[in-house]
Amino acid sequence: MILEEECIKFTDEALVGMSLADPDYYACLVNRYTEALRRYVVRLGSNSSDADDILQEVFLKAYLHLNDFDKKLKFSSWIYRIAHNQAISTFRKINIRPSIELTDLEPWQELLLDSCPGVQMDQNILKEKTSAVLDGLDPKYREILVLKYFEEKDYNEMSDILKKPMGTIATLVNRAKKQFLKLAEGQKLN
Amino acid sequence: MSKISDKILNKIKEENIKPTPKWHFDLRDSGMWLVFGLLFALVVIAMGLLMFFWSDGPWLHGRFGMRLFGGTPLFLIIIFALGASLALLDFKNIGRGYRYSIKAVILALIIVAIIAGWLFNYLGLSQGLDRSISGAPFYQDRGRYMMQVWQNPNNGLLAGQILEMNNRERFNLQDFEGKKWMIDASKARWRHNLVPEKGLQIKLIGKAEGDDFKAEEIRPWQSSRGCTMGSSQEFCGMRR
Repeated sequence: MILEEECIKFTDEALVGMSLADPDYYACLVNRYTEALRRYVVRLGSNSSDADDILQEVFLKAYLHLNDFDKKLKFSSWIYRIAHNQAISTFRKINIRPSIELTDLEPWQELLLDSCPGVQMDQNILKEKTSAVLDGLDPKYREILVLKYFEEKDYNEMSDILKKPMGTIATLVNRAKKQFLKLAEGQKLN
Repeated sequence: MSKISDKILNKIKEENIKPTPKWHFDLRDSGMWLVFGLLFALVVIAMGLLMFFWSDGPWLHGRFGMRLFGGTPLFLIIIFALGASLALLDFKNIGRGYRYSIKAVILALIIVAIIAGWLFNYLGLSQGLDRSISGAPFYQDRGRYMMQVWQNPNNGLLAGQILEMNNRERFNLQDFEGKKWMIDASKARWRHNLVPEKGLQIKLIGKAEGDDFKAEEIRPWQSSRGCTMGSSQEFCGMRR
């Protein structure tokens, strides 16, 4: 077992190489990304219990494909891409429309209030309205907003995660913001 | 250590899971490049053949444009479109191909295909290929295509052989379907330094009036690149 103090000495890319030789080092990468990826798949619409199953699949797939990791990419972009694909595939498999858990609403509420500055609102009403906005948001727009505003990825990383050209990413971000604002206005926040 | 990393590590060790070997991914990537190369070669060949077909057509006469394209073998157009679409799809899935916009990739594919297709045709490879596959089903060779384009007196296009040559301005011609015409060439431009003589095969642009044809422009039937490099008459479109 590799200690956390040992793990922090190495970059992601170095750990990929070391994991190929000794799987114990892979635990460093798993620990480094578990929380970030759990938040990400929950924000995409998974519930907490499904999220752990998705994460296990993600880390196993990533381990199996370690030799396919392109060193021109950031490891985080690569693992986020696998997580994204796994989450979408799971949503399709269990045939449900992704829904956001109320525990993860806070960042969305911030985005909602940022869209409508100056609005003061009771927490319960805000939660209700946020849920309504998120329910109406197209999943492809939700995932782009998640990457940009919550995971704070730049366009390069978003392009690598979603495997789309940067121009398309920029268009999607604009459209997502427009749809978000439209839905927020529909909730009469102003 | 988080629960997940424990589970993952245990699973890896208990089931002796190993990362897929690198050669597996190298083989996959090489295979995709190979498929891309083959598809692109197909696109270039189709473009080369299309250029061979369209060369020496009545380009300057816009009203014939539709006929020019209309007679082009659908087979070649389908091969070009299908090959280009599959090559595009393949390219987008190779390495970081997804980073390029579809419009940019399509434009680059077409530009490179036009340049390579032109070279393919310029080197005479279109001509050779046209000859070797002329009997294949779904394929209409250039000779028949040329006949289809030029044997259209109602649309001002005519091709045939000079029968009698009394003077340069008025002579008899038999078209490739056997019909005889009196050609009025008094206002015609003779292209390609053509020397009119009995037996010469020509193609004409002008206007048909009964059995008379008022020529505006006269070109040698065998003026195209494909027919000036020592190929047989049959190959150059004389086959009926």
